[in-house]
Amino acid sequence: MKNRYEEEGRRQGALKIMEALSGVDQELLIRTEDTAGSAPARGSAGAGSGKPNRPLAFWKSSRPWAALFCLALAGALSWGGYRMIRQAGGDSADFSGNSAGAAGGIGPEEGAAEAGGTSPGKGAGGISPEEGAVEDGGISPEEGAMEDGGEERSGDLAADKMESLENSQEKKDFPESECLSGGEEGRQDTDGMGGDTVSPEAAGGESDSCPRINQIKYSEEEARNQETLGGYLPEEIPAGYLFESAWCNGDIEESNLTMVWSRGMDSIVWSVSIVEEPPETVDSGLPETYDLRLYTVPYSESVPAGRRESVDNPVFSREDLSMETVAARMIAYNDSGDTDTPRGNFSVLYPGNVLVSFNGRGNAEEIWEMFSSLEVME
Amino acid sequence: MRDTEILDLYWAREERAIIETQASYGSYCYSIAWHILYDREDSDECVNDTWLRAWNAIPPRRPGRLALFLGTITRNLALDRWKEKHTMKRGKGEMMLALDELAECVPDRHSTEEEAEAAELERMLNEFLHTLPERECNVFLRRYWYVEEYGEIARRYGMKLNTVKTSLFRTRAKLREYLEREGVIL
Repeated sequence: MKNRYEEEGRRQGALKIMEALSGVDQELLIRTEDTAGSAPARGSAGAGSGKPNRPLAFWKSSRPWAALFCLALAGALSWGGYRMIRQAGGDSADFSGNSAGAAGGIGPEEGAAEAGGTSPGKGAGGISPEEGAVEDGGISPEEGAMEDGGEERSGDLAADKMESLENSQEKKDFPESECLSGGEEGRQDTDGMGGDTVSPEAAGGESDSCPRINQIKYSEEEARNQETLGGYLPEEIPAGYLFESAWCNGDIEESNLTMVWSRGMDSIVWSVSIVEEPPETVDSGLPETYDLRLYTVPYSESVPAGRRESVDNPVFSREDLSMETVAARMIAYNDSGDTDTPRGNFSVLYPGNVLVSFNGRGNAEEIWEMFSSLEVME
Repeated sequence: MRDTEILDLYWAREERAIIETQASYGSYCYSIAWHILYDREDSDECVNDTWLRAWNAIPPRRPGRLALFLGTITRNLALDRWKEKHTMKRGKGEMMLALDELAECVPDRHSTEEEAEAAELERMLNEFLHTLPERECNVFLRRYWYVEEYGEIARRYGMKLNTVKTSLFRTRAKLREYLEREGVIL
């Protein structure tokens, strides 16, 4: 109850700031128009229009490449110098096998990390090395983690993942049928479809970098019209959420469909797949196997090792799904810098081995309504 | 039609002023209301109320930037409407009536203290915003004045989505620190 009052108090404070912003100096507001880039699509709040800040954008996007170039140059020079010294010393050993390592062996990730101070592995929730390197510049991993609430299951992480996935999607497309028939075929045909598609090896010998994800992107309507899986998308969405994206992942053998909605910092990722081997469902009579309210953060210390898997991502059978089970999974965390919307994750197994996985934010009533609105529930 | 011509119509008390305002700034004001309310009907009403307020305010006023003048009215109306709806959602029936009745016993701070506090907060926010780098300030205002989505802001300024989020995260932290330093209690 105290939390609720605190929450209400904070919201009132935020509202006061919002209202006070109405009195902001006009020159500041005008400035937001003056420096505006390409105006958003119709209906956006912009009375003026300007030109995008292309030099700045170019500078930002080119920094990692400039760093890479500098490193390659430095590597080549030092290797040349090293060889000269060895030759001068009468050492006739053959170093040709190492030459690639001196110059060509420096991957884009390393170059970018050097330039921006961002470790390639920071991935605050799934940012690919390439994306993290190009995008974040001087953002430290800690900041990225704080932004996302520092919780692995955070719905915000999904937003980052989405962006990463979308970026890869922009560069790669492949026929829809391949997504539904299986991942291998999709992978094989990818290069043939997209003119600008480049295999990881061809893209600079980054055979160790993350492979691209084969996706088919859908509009909301197209996703809902998907045979079988479309029927497992909810009709009811929590207030304020807007459709963000939907896709099918061709790298997964099983038929699958994912849809994402977002509401400011909050997001909901809803995945539907037909699984060959149904996962084990939890017993709703044993709340200790799924009820997060019984445990304290950090869960790694409070959840017994034997129950971690089910507590981490429980799968409920359709019959066991209820308002109570949903409430057991949607928990509000008091994380600094994060929204106070409850968040959680769980999956539901429907007849025909259809698995619906939920990961996102909203209160239990809203999420329960989402599941209740499935066509298959009617 | 140019702003000065529209203002002349207002000053001449010609009703065509409303039509011209709607044509020039209808979508702009609607967008501001929509981002706050996410409701077509409410947003339309806010915009119509904006025209009425503008009609009553001009003359005597003659705003330098008509867009911002109208936008600010729309924003205030939308915030009021949002609060109204938000309060309605808490419950209906006797409980709300009882609370309203009890509210009569609460000393009225609005006339003096609250207005002074609001003005002070306004002043401090302006001061704070002037200390920010231009891009950071713009992103902050686009988010919290226009209530635009991250994606829209990113497109507007040619930024990455995560960069926008990070910028806002940092600015919020700075604002919090600033308000704490100034001893503001909200």
